[in-house]
Amino acid sequence: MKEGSSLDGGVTALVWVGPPGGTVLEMRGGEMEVRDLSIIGRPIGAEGRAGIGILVTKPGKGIGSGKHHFPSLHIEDCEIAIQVGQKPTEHNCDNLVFGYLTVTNCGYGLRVMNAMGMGFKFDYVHTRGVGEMFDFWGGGNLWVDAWKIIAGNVGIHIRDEPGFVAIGKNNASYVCNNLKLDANSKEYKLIQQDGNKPALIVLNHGHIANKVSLEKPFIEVGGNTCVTLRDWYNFKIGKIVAHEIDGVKPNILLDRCRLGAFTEPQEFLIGKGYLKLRDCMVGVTTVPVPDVLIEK
Amino acid sequence: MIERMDVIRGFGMTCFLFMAAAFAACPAWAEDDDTEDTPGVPEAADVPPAPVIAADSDDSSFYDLRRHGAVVGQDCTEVLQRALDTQGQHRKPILLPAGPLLISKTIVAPFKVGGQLLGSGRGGR
Repeated sequence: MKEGSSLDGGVTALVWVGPPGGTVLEMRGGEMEVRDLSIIGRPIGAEGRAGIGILVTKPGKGIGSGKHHFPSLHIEDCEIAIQVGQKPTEHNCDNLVFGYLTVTNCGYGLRVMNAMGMGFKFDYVHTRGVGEMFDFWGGGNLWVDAWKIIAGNVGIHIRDEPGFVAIGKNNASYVCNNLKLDANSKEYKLIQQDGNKPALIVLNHGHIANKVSLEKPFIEVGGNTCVTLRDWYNFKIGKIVAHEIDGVKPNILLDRCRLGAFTEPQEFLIGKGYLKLRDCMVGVTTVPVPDVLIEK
Repeated sequence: MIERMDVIRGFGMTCFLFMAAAFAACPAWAEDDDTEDTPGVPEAADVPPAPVIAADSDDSSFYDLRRHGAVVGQDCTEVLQRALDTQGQHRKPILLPAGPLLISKTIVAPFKVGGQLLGSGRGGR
């Protein structure tokens, strides 16, 4: 065990004191390990904050950048905690593996810019006061094993910005397991998809705290996208917004969920799309809801 | 005749039991030196060498940033940048001390493979 192990409670923090908007750590190479570290975007009481905590980028031809490993990391008070790539055509900057990541008071958690930015694995991520945690301009393929959400606005944002393309033609996947929305996550939107970048979204085993608002849509998708919510309990958020794009409607499946404020299945779906309920139950009971396919 | 043989047998058995008891009462005789050491006195060959991670010595397994000029609470930008420029592939992991290390200019991990940046623990400020 190395000297000054985390077992003694010590914290190592890189604290940004440069100009506001600057980048704290720029990683140009490949297969590096960064662990047991905090990156803080500003000293206490300072005006302005760092623009990017960690930037993974590739300056030119050569080795395949990315493939970094972050077993234990905390990022706080940055506009963007982690940014991957700086332009759509940038190569590599892919396959980042995170063990225990906490992100606090940041505008964005992970922003992916390049089409090749793919393969982001999180064993456990804890977000507190993060505006949008996963912000995909390009690339894709997100795998989260456990995710605790406290406050913030959006979980996964799949943008449709001109010039930015997702991984491949249409096969980016976003898979999250074991989600918990804390009571402070009022009016949280878990999925925001702007346009028609077809995606496979799978959200397994989630729990929504009772105090989370029912007012805003919980999921908003469009076009050739499939969403599966499986084994959610207290799924009381009654609004899934679906957009038909170019004649194609998204498909949403609720599988084995307990529907907290359930009244009528029709109420779940807003807009145009398909919604399938399968093996769901009413509230916290074991009373089954009839399987139904809703098309609007 | 029979009584005399019984006396001889009884005497022999008594001697045998006495010797067996004496043998068992003395650990030095009773124990097998090949299978068990004397309690409390380990032999040198049986004790593995203590792990030595001398972060402050020249032959350390780590590149200890404190030994190269980092001072907790002060600007460590140049010290950390120099470490990353020199400690890449096939070199030492960079060991950062606990506490705040101020960074005033972007730290650039160079365009090469490998390298380790090791703090003392993650957490808040």
